[in-house]
Amino acid sequence: MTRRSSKPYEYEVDADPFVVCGIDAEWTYESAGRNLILSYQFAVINANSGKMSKLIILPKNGARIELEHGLSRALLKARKRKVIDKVPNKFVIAGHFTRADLTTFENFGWFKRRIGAVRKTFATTMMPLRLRLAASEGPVKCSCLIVDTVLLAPAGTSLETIGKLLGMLKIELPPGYTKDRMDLFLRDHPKLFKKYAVTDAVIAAKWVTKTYGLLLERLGIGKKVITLGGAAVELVRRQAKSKGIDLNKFLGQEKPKQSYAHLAPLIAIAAQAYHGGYNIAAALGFSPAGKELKDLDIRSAYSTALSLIRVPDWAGARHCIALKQLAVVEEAMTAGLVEFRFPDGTRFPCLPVRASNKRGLVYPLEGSSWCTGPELAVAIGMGAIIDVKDGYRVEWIAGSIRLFEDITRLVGEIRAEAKALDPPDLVLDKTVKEIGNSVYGKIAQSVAGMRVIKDDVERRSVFNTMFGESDQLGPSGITNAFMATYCTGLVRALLLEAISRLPQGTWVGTATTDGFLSSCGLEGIDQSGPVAMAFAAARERITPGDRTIWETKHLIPRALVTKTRGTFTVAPADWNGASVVLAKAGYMTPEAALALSEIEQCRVWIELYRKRQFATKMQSKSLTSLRTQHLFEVDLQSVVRDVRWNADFDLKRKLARVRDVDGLITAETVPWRSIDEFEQARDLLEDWKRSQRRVLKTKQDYEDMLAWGAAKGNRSKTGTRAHNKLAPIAAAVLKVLAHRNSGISEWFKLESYAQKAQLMSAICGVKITEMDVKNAKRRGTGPAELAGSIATLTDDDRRFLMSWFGFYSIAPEVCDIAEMLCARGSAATEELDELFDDAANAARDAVADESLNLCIPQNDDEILEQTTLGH
Amino acid sequence: MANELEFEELAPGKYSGTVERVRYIFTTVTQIVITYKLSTPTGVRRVEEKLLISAPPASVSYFHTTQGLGRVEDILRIKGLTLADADGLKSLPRLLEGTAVTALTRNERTGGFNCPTVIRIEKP
Repeated sequence: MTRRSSKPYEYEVDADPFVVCGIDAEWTYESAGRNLILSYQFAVINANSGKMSKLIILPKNGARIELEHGLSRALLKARKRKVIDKVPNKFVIAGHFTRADLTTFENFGWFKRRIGAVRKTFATTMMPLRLRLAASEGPVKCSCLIVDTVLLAPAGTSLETIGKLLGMLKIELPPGYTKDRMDLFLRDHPKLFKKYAVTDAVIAAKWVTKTYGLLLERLGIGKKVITLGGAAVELVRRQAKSKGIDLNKFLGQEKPKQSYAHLAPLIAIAAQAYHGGYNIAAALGFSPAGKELKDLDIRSAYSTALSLIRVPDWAGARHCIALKQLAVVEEAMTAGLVEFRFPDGTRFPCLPVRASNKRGLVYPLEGSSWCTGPELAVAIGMGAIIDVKDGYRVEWIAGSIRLFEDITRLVGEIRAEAKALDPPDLVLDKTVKEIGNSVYGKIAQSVAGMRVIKDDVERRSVFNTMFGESDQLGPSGITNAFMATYCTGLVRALLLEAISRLPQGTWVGTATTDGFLSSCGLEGIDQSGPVAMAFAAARERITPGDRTIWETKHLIPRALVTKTRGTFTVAPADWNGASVVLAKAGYMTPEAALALSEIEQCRVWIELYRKRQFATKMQSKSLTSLRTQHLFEVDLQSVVRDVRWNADFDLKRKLARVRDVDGLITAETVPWRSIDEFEQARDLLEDWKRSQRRVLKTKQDYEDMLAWGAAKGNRSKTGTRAHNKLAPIAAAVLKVLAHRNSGISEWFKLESYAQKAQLMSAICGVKITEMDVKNAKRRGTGPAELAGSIATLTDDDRRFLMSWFGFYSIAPEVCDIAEMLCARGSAATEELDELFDDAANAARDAVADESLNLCIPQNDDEILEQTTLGH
Repeated sequence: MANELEFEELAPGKYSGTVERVRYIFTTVTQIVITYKLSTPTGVRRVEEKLLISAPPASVSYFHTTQGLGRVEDILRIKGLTLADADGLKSLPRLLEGTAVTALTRNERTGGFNCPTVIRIEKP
């Protein structure tokens, strides 16, 4: 297993076998930040001989041991069991989520700065951990590589799944015992506890042994990488070498991580045009009944997009503002800054514009966009008018190879072989698949951080364990802004090209990076567009004879779309589909529903969505952060927090044909005219939710939000707030009256604050105190600034004006005051005449009935009485 | 199980034995690994020591090469030889292996165990 580049020197010590020591610990909660350690487990595997020894240490009263002590004892036992001949000078320490286990050792504080942090766990990133272990021959200085199986397995794979892939079943806890009370399990079933506990260490050790073995045997990667992403980088390096390509020249750099100087301005454009995937909810609420929905996915989207890349001609890379030169799919890598306008009625514009406040990408009908060549090609196909401001074009070297195509093909071949084995080699299949998918991630690593015009996209940071602070994640060994931009743009373009060409009347629910949910099946996808043609050709090169781009992932009867990445399957009770769409928009399924099937979980989610309020909270389970563990040397504990459930539509597209279906808001969407329109709508939604403490659940909610938004300008000009008891125009009138020293007619003497308060109380139907009048005079703008402050009227404003105009016959000045307050030519001014007529008619009717007795009320009871009559 | 985990301690003292094996670890520096075979009251024990013997003169490790050279010189002296008699590193294994020595050992606390460490080599 251990590789040497040359034969050993004369009298050199014998090479160590490849030894992996799996570690694990079991504990129970003791106090905040401190766990009671129940056991330490070790599994030593000699990969050369395949022998293994296990050790479990049960500390007395939770007394912690040092890492060296545990390892010394594990290796001592391994020697006595003839697993190893001597304590190796180099070996691997493997664990599943090492952050949980390494912190349980007594001397964590001593070695915490000598291990690195990767993706929220600990692993060796630079120097190996140097330990002095005990052996009967004397102390042995060892170099230990710390490896976490979380990093060496596909993202999100649990230890249980890893065990299954290895053919090892994780021992289930007997009924009545839980992971957070392992002390009870140890007390009641000590033998079973030991068996249960040591299995985790064995799985970790075996996975690392097997993965490194496969990497060496199947991909020729001898380096002990700590992540599968690292293996992807090594794979690219190796493939480039085997094809006779200088990787630095291929990536356009003088030396690793230093690009050619003349590319610097072009990298700036590439980084600006680098965006994530196309993620959008194109509808809200229930999908049409009776239309079966298909969730279609692009096959190996990013791997295939990468495979279009040939060897770039970096010497010929140049600025370019000719649209024809930029709007290409596979001729060259291009990107640029453009101003665009799509024809009215375009359903799915395809040029991205980044919104503020982490609101993601929005696709308006017009605006300014940093975009890529394939997106421009699709935009031209949609009839967009495009004005290029700046851009670049990087040609391919004529006749050059496609490096990533070879890698994708190699990955595909290995996977096919692994699956064909009897039994299938699932470890190989999953590992190689993850490596293949990681190539794109490594190419795009930290490209967002290269942007000259900084935006609000969060840079990924890593915790520097040596200095105890956060650093920005740097580029990988194969980071390339041009290639990353090209790939993401190509996948977005392919997705949008397909969606925009769907047959008329197709319901589109959501689109997420490389797939979309719609009522259209594979047969309805138009693949005659320029991007689809290029992609299909790439697919055929990878899998000869097969040009298929799209595949059906899910088939469901109906869906409820709540927001981007928030979709639930709606199905009758007797439906027994193969798989369901269950996208929870980042929230955890409630614990009570975890045991249910996916379709049952969907029903739970829909019911929760139906019942939700502004204050509805979801549980969020998180763990003690790596930073906290490192800085304060505390143990890993789970922290349960309640977070407000934001399930409201994100308004990335404008709602149209809003209606209620089954009691929930349902609508189609159209693109926004501009990014500003989107930002305003989104600001309105957020302000409305926060101030009114409401959610967008029904059509009424939506209309209320729009009305609230319409009155927002009035409120700001009149200095009122949404929760104030007076409507904006009423507040403005009160201010006018407060500043007046003379009455508005001989009937209304407004000499004292009390009189003014009484008048307003009578009109508004709410109690206005003397203090309110004083405050109206004292605070905010004066009457001069209030002129023209009301642009639109709300229902409250209309109600007030009806009452206010009712005084016209005895105080004609009320009309002048109302006209003065409404902005000239505004919708509010236009409504005044109509309201005046309505008020006059109402007054006539009232007089006819002899039921209205207008007089200034003298006490609270009279105010209420008059209010009732007035309305 | 307890027996398997029993660590064989070696009481500090003088033990007679031989230099059994001499090997090197070559990196940017060179370490000499000397294995002694010692006769102890509980039977034959092997004690190993790893010392720097060669390092680039500009490196911080250069100073520590005196430890390895000193130990080699001690063993050679028993045979009536000096470092000058050795023809480079390659000749040392042949010169040192089989030499009868008396090793003075002490215990060094490592990983919670008392590990034997050679502190001096003397004539038998």
